[in-house]
Amino acid sequence: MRAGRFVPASLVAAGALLVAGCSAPGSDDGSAGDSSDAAAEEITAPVTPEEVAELGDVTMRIWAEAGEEATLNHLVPIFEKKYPNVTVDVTIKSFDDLTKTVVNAMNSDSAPDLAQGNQGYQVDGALVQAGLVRPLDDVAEAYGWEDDYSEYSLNQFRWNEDGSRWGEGTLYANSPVTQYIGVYYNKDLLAEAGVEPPESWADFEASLPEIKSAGITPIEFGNSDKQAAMHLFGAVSGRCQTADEVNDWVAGVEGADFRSECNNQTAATLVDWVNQGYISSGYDGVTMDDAALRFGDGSAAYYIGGDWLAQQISPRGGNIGFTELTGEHGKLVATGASSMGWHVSSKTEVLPAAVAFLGELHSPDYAQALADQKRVPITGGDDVTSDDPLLNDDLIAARRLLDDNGQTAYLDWSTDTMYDEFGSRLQELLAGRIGPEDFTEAVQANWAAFQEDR
Amino acid sequence: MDGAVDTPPRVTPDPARQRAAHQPGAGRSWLRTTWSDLRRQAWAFWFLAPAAIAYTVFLVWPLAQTVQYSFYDWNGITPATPVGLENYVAAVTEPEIRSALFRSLVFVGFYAVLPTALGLLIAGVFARIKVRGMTLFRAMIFVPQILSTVVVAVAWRWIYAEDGPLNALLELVGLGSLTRAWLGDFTTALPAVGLIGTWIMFGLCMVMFVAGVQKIPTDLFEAARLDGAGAVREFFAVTLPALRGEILIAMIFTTTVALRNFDIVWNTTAGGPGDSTKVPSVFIYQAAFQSREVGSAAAIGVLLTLLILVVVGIIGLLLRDRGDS
Repeated sequence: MRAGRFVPASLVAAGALLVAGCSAPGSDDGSAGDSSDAAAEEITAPVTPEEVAELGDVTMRIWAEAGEEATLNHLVPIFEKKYPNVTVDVTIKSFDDLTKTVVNAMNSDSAPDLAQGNQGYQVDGALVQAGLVRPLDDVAEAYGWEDDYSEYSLNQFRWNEDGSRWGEGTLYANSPVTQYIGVYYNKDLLAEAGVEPPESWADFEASLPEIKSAGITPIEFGNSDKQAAMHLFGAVSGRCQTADEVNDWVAGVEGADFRSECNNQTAATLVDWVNQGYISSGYDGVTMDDAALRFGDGSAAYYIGGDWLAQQISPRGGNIGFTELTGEHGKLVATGASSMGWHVSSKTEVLPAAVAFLGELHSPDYAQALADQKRVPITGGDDVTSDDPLLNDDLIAARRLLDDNGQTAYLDWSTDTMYDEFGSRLQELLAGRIGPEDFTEAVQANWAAFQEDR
Repeated sequence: MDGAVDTPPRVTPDPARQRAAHQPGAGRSWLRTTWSDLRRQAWAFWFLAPAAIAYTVFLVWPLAQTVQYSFYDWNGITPATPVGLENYVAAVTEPEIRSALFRSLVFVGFYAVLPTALGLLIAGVFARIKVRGMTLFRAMIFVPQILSTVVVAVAWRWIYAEDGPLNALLELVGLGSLTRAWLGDFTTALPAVGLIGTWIMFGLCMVMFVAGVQKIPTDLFEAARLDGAGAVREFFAVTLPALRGEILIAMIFTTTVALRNFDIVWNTTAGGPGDSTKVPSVFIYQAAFQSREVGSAAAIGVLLTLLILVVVGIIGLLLRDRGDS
């Protein structure tokens, strides 16, 4: 009896090992980098409905993040009307699901024609490295993206040939929407403390003791997911350094160093804020989103966080404003980037339709529609407005930040393990377990190790 | 029809005889099974096939693939580079992973030892006292087992929050000085997450042990009581030895869950604050899904599997039934 159990099990196991052992992973699936002829065709001018019509009746498949749902619900019917031979099939995924599955999906035989990636090595880097996405330099040229979009907003989607370095090179994606870190303030609580809404970081720092002595918590903070502290650091450190300094370091430019006076100082300032009681207590046990909701309910005078949280804060009914603060250098500098970039599959059979879709989405003519979906367009200029006062603040702050060329890349794009490293060390810093210099040293060590590996 | 005739005689089955009767080849070692025996019994494989195929496709095959990947440097997409044992060397020499392993052992305490002890205590009490509404009570305590761990994590995040019910309770009983954000504090985060595991696991242990107690012949308890054994003596002399099989299964199951613990940690603290609740599976997740180092994720996974096998083996040895085989 035991033989009966033993023999098939071991045969099966041995067989599986044998088969699995045949070839190196990733070498034999034949799908990676198999570009279609259709995708290789060059785009020289904006695609016309007639050119798209030549495709006959086709379905174009799109993978998008949940934040795009309202936009796509608006744009897809318009697009299908203008290009009646195209049926658009949209798959919506949460941020986590999308970033974890999109690379494999683009690698499959049934890859979507258009899909959102995520800037940095983990998603966009992998897509470029494996040749799964089509270069878009010709599309940018044909649609004049370089006039409508800032250099920085396009550079986050530029990669070198082997996908090992980003920031310059071939353009692989674009996004019409920007997202950035700013300062929310509760107008009623500031008035109660006798403080004017701040315009600069100096104003902001000066107001903290006044707010505190009025018995109001100055800054709401929630950091259990280790992400909010990085955003806080990215915003506050913008007061004493230029956007180029940060972006060079994140892009891995040789000789860049995180252990700058500005970063050390920022680390010390944040610790001081915690010790002075300017930051809400128990923050490592509260999620970033919950903290935003609390702030919306009037828990504190300030909240430093992503402009996208306005959609959660606004409905809570508080009298809330949103702004960017001027630094010591007289400019606005804060973490910010385009939303997840739109990629065209290198296997698409419906290139004209995919390009036409990107053209419509990125057109300055579509910017107001994006604002109506409560999103912040990069193009469109001052004409784009919103009835929602908080969102209108958001649109104005974004315009000012973009005009100052002040957006800095998310600090965790610097290496493939920085997200956790930065978040963990920052938690230790704020808890007083390591000093400001230990913190910047640890971050730089992770950066240096990664640069050496490449 | 005369019911009395149809009723089979009530004989307590002898387990040893039963086992012998069900083993046609009993007494003959499997080593001496010949090919002709196998051929004669070949039809038996057809009955094993469905299970064997499912087992191969969903367990053996992925396991074999994981082992294979662990010898490569691979981002999951582009062709992989063979690196020999490099991933294993890196995993073993990484101090962060070693301290994560230590935290895993702490979790064994919270996920396995504590629930087993609590479950035994309750089973011991119920062996002596008959409680009304026992089924309802058991069902309630078992509920954490069937809840999604994300739901559990969200609920406990709320309980442990600075303005949550746990701190409110402490304030109420005059222990306001102890209040804190339990999951956000470097000293309390690990035990706080561990106790969530205790809460999830002890219902399962209790249900198994209470069921086990019910199969102990009541005359054993009676005999113990006649000999003048108290509650404690009765527990150690009768209940505990009789539950050895249940304890073994409970320990193996809970220890395995403790060592591969991921979802509760990830959804409560994401390994933080700092690295204070980082366990090996967090590294596997980060390597596989965040930094796309499939090879090193696989190597840590294989090492973790081996560790689980060793620990479970030790538990099996310690609790093995010495009276048998």
